[in-house]
Amino acid sequence: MKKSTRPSVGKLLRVLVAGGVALAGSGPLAALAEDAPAKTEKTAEKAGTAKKPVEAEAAKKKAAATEKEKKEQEKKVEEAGGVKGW
Amino acid sequence: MSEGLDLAAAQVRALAAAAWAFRWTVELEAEVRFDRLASRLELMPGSASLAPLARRAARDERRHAGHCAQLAAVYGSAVAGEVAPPPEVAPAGLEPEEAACYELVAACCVAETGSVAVLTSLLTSAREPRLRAVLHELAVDEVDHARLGWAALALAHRRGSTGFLGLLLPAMLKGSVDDDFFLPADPARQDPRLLEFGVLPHSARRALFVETLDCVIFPGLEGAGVDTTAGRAWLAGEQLQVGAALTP
Repeated sequence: MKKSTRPSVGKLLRVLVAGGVALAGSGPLAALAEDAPAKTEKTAEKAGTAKKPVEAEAAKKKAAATEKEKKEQEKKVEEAGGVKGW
Repeated sequence: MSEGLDLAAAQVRALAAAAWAFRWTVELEAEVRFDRLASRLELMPGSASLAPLARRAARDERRHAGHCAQLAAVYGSAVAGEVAPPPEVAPAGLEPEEAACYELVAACCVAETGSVAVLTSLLTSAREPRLRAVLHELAVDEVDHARLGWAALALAHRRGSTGFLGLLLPAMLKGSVDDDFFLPADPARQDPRLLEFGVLPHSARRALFVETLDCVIFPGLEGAGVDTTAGRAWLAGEQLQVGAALTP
């Protein structure tokens, strides 16, 4: 009987992904991960204390920031590339 | 008739030679990429332990390139010298740790994992001892290289910094294949005799790529907190392209 040319992808998942996670979770790597800097703290938003003109200005700034972030994200997508394998 | 068969056999051999010559460039580029990544990882407190693995991967790739050059020569294509350093694949706007993570995911979780799938598949059909030995040696090493990426991703996930990858996945995946990857291939590239030379016929390679993404890479990324919606949508779109091209 002719052998299948297809590998067991389930087996690959176990070998690669779980292997990589185990690698990250063992010994010095795990210790380093524990010591890794905490996520950047989010600045708490102050709600309900600002006056309306200030709110309007803040909303304008937020919209501009959102637009800037959107453009930056689009630029990242344009610049992103991949690595060819076999 | 036999002249036609000889011509087809010669074409298959030439395609195999070209494939091994291409792999030679892939391996040399990978050597430079892993060395570059190792230097960057050494400077990152959260990932420095991965640096020696990247250095070792670079040395492996140099050895692999030698094997690929030898097989290319056996099949009729001589290669020599060095290749240009591979381009940066991470977008310029990323933080250094994010950029290293992006490149490790592109090089290891996608490209090296895909290479393991190809090598595993080829090992089931290659018979010639020298070819089998090379495929086996490379498969063993590439498993370690793929794991390096998955380990880097797991560390990044613990830091809560893998979310940025989701929207970049389509570009990363698109860049991992040739432009004609999802188009119908020349009949010579579908010839099953390519397997004897350690090369997958085009449609088999494409099917394996899709299967590896669906069953290994996407689930692995999702396990590390990466939203694969955009990546999956890209793949679905490309597969529609294949279907449309094959519809009379």
